[in-house]
Amino acid sequence: MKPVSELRDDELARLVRSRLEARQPRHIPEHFVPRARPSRTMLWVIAAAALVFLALTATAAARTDLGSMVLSGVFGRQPATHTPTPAPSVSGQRPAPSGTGQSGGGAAPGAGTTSPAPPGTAPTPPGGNSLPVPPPSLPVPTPTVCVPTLSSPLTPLPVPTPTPPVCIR
Amino acid sequence: MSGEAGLDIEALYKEYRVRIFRAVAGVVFDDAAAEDLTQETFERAWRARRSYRGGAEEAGAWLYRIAMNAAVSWLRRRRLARLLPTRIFFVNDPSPDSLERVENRHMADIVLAALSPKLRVVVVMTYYSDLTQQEIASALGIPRGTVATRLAAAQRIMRAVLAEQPTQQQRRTGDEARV
Repeated sequence: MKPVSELRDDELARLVRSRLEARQPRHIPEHFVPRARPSRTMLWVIAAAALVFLALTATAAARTDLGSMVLSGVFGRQPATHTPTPAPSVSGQRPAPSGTGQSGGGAAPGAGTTSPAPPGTAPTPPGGNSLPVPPPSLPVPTPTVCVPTLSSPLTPLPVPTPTPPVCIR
Repeated sequence: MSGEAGLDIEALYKEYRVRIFRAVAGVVFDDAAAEDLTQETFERAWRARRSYRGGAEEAGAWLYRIAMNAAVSWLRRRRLARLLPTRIFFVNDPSPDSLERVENRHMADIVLAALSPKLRVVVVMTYYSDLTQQEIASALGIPRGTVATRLAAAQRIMRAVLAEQPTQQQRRTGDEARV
């Protein structure tokens, strides 16, 4: 082999060319057969499904109640509404399981006796079982609307100076 | 070859598939990947055959352009541009070659592996594809002066790499000295 400094461009080219020509493909077929690609219809269907999913996700993120309603409708479940839990019996008795205590009485302890109810509670019906009493209603907060008011609406200033918003209850 | 129905890809495939494979193999240094990329090149050409506006004589350059873009993209994906093992070329080489030919191949692998993908593409297309610098420039979408600059830079690097490699005679002498 010649010293490198004496290698001319054409010899360098021959070196590279001979190397490339020594390569032989092994698994390239003789004839060109284009591979089948997924049809455009399928691509459109996938894109539409992705869009619907994104829209649902965005809706659920923006409005939790609406999103949960739609999702529960999609999956066939009841919407997850916020149901108030029944208040515990004021009389302190555990509610009897259904079918006991109400019929054929006499055997259940406390049947026919009424414990004195504390003031302010609903009367306990005879039979010993107390009805769930709704909790005393809490004062409903009045919605607060913040309306920015102008200090002087009639002042012909080009840019009115807003004052801090006044909260009206 | 070109007409209303576009290019005859089957004819181009028969004429260019081995050449495209070798050019791609010279860039990516992986025979299996080169075969896949050759197939991909003709797939792309087949999909774009109706929009091809060039003449039949430019179809080869067009194919090389697709192939080189695919090869560079593959290298970019693999991030192996500068970490290529050059021993790949010594695997499965059953031809009973002379020692000098084997050494030349080894040298060619080393110098090609030392080049960046951009330079390697220019070297492969210049030395192997039989395209002029103007054709290479239009195929790669770069000015002709850039092709010349890259080729000169690649030749400098190749010479420098070759200068660092000991020749077979020197290796033999070194081995004997060690013994």
